[in-house]
Amino acid sequence: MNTAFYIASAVAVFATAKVVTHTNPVHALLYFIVSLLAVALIFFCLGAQLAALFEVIIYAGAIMVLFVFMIMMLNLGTDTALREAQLFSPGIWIGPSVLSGLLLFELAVLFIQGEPQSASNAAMVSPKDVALSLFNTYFLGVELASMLLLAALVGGFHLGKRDQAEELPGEVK
Amino acid sequence: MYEQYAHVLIFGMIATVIVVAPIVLFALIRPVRPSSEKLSPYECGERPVGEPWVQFNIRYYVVCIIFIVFEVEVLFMLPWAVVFNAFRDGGQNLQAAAGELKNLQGATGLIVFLEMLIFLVVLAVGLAYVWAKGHLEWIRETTKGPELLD
Amino acid sequence: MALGGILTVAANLIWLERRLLALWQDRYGPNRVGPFGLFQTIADAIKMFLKEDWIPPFADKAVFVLAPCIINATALLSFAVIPFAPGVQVMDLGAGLLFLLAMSSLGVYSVTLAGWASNNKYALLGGLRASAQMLSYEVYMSLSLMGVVLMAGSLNLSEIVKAQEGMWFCIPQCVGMALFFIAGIAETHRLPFDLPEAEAELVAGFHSEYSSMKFGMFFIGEYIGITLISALTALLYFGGWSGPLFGLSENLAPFVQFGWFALKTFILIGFFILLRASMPRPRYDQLIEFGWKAMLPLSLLNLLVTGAVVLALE
Repeated sequence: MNTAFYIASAVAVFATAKVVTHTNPVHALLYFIVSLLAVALIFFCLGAQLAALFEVIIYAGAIMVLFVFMIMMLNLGTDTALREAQLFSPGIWIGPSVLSGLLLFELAVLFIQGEPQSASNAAMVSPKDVALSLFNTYFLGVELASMLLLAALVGGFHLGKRDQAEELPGEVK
Repeated sequence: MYEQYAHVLIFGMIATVIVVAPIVLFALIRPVRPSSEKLSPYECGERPVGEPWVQFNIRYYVVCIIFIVFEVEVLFMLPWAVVFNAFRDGGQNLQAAAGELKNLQGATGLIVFLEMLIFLVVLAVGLAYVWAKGHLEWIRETTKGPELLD
Repeated sequence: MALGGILTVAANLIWLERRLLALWQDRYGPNRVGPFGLFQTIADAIKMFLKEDWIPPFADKAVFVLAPCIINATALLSFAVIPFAPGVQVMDLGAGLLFLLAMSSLGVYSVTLAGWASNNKYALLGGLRASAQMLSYEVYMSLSLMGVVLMAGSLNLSEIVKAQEGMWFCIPQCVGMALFFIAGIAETHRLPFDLPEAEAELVAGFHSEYSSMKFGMFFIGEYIGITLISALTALLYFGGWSGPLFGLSENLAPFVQFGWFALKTFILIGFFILLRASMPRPRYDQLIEFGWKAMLPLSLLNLLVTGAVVLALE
């Protein structure tokens, strides 16, 4: 299981790096999806079946579709790719890279000092266990989440409300 | 425990081979004869006009947002449906199911049912609101007459 | 073994569908190749393998190739958690139903990306329609499943089948079953809900630009989807591998149990095809509004009523 964990982690890191460096927005999104699937696999290795499947359903299956729609809607074509390519001049990326490199170094030091938790000694958590604590100890959180979803629902519909006059030329109806 | 996941891996690999093999193998004997007509986008014989990657109606985007909202809701309801029976009979078969999570804190079937009822009512209010506001109509009456379909 | 079986079944479904459609439309279907035209599928497959397989120069190549692979991969992977008979399955996942939902939510990418990568107006519109339709009906599908999960108290498909020992869930969950099946048809974008590829308005929708085996993969993917939905309906609502005599299924030999499961699945597939032969296609706005105004409230009500009844029966 440790091997699976390391492979999934490597895939996740590689895919995320590709998300940042890829110039074509749709290809970058595909890498993003791969990265999320790899993270789901990591959850799975750690024994959290439910969290892994939720990750796939919500993040990879739902929110990423929204992103794909967004990119299709904004009609990002070749000019965007060119503009993105120009972003990668050294002056722009060197600063943030050095800073995040420092953070990475810090993380590595922490890992070496502390006892790293091995993936294999994690217990499997069944969907029942999650559900029991969710509707027992944390049921207030569930109700609060429903409020949040209500706001999202109303907000989402209002986003789509728009007058005919504002519609952009060239839009396909 | 993890043995069966190896089966999945094998299953997946065989599936990949079955799907990819015909494409690769038969590519050797397939004809390749491109022509300028063949290489143009298909629009019923007409020459394509304009960019094909057009901006489309925002309603598709709204459908997507609503989907996410309800998908999250579904993920709250699925665990609820799983444990509902367990709560109902006062946690008798729960001991076996849940291991150390035996502490039910007096939660009974009725209370758990009411929890979900509140959860759903809050969402139903939202649904009723957008329904009443007319956001559920795909074709909307506007001042300039009805909108066209996509 | 299982994989080869699924693919063969899916391929021969095309023959079955053409024959049955012909029967219901009072004409002959394909009947020339082999006895009753049984080898038509093989002939079709060979034809498809040998056709020119081209990637349009205007398309986004990587995504264009990836899209048909996704639909096959997700559909085939879904079968990993389907129990064909007690113990006969690839993976006995505790949250099997959730796994299926996850796979179907990933399947949406196939049509969206195919429509986008083709760089063709028809394909883009078809892909958009398909993804919006699949997204919304996926929600109704998971909501309608909730009643079954509640009654069985498990997400594991084998346990759900075992919970139907006394009574198949198609009786107490008849509303849920109808909703699930409708959502399943929309999810596989089959007729009458085949708006993404409505040939009268969109040529072939998202796969307009696909040819040869890549088109074949979409085609097979659709039939695997039909098999999957039928198998799921048989498992969740018609007692899976148990025979019509309740309580006796434990004593049956595994291949008899598998036979029952296969029989139920095939009856449901036949129903799928009958729907295609008999139903007109709705408009797209009708499809989406039907989802929001009928499917969603009904499936929520179904869940609440099931919960209340289970509570009251205590």
